[in-house]
Amino acid sequence: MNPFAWSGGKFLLFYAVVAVAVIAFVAWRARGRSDSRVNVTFMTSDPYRIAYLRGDSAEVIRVSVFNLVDRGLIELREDGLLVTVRKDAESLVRRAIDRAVLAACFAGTAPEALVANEALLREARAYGRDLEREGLLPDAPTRRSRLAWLVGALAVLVGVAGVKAVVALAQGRTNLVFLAILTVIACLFAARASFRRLTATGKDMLDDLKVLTMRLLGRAGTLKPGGASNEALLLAATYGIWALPAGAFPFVETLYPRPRSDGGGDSGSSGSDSGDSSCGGGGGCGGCGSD
Amino acid sequence: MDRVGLGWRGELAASILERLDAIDVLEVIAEDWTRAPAREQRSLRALGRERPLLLHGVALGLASRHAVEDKRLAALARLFETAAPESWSEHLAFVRAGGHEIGHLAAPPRGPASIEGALRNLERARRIVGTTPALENIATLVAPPASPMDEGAWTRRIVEGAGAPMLLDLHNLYANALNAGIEPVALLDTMPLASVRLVHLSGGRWLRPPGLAPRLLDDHLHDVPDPVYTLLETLAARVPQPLTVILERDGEFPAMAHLVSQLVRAREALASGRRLARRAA
Repeated sequence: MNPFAWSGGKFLLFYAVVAVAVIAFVAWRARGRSDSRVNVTFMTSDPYRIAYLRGDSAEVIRVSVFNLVDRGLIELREDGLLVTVRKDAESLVRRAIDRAVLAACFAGTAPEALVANEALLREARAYGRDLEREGLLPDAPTRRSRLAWLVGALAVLVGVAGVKAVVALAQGRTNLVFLAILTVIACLFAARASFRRLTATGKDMLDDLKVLTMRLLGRAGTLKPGGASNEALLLAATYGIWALPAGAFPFVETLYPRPRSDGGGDSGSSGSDSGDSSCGGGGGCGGCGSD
Repeated sequence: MDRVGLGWRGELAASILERLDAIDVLEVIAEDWTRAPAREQRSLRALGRERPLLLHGVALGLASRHAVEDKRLAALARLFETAAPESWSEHLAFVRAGGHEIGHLAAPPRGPASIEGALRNLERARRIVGTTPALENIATLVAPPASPMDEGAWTRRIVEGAGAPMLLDLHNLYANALNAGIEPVALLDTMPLASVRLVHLSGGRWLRPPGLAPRLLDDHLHDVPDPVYTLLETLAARVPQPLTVILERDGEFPAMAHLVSQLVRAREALASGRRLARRAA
């Protein structure tokens, strides 16, 4: 019952089972446990936190640009540059990232240049530190722990393959290509499973926000531009600026054309059941009897 | 302590989350979530960490001689377990008969048969879900035929028989009183006021069918009318127990500031009623 003495096909099957178990273990360790202490208000009081959690620093800048254009504080000129419209614009916003974007647009800047602007990216990264402190993104100790588990996993994967290779070579068998390929694939999957961008708490929070705002997304077509409500900003942060209806917010596609692979923002979560006899979906419960 | 809250509607999510400072409690329609995957149901817990959650059922059809299906109660029980609400409520209505879904909360004949059926259903609901729901009076455009009892007596028999708290919908009461041609306060006084823990406020519109008397339809699409705030004040003056008041709005949503102004009016009505009670004492 020594697996290292098994023939090629049988050993590869054994190795695949070991690899799946190791990757599953690493993924489980990397996910960690969800912590319910972080609340929805913490996230929604500043939608840019949500944008960072879902995307990255550049996404925060894109959402900020969207917000400022929607509010009429910056505008896209015909030459393709974004310019700050009012001199007192910075006094009309309270978030540092908005102020930084306004400052960057005083002289006129291309939308794409903004998401590569190092000063803005630095400002946006502050959200990352916030989210790390709250346990929604992995902090340095978590990343070190993940790395340690990954190193252990790689040691197992490479070690098992290595022992088999030594045994096979000692028996004069040199056909180790399939084992080598399988080892590389297993190591790549283990690395991918280890470096999850979000913690379990972060993933749950993002999923919760998407579920809770799903119906808002459903009526995105009725949103009015002009910064009249916070709804468009929350949707842009939660699902991405491309989830907003082009009819109401035509400038979005001009600012940042939708990537070809993007099928409509990050809006693929499933809808909740509206239930029979439900009053929740609008229209009330009128009729011969109602609640 | 009295509390004032709002019915959670996904369409209002952003506005509600932004104005939680004005909201003490949130009420969620149970059937919007009972068939959702467990992962989605769990998101209600995140909402519940913000404000106490109440679960509001609209599809059980408790006030019926027909037994509520086990699967509906089981789904509700699972949701109750997952979302961990503070309590739940349902209507004193029937919603299906002879295998057909009516699509409305319909008023059953107010008599011994519907009382017995409701009490049987409530006992099963209590066993399966684990707690007894608060029972809500429904609105009806016409008095249900073949009803030997009036609404107050019928409601009292069920609420007190089940030992259940009552969710008193003041707009339903107001509409029923006007549609039946009686004084709303007189109808209020027939209700089991000592059992009232929850209150619903909403609005409606007048239907004026040609050749018939006008009828007030409770549609949840309009503002709470002034007389309903007066009824809330009267209720607060007559009962000593704390009340949780929920504003219901199902569509034609106004700006959040407008909804918040209605919450403020509800608080004022409660406070005014409590002052009246203290003065009378």
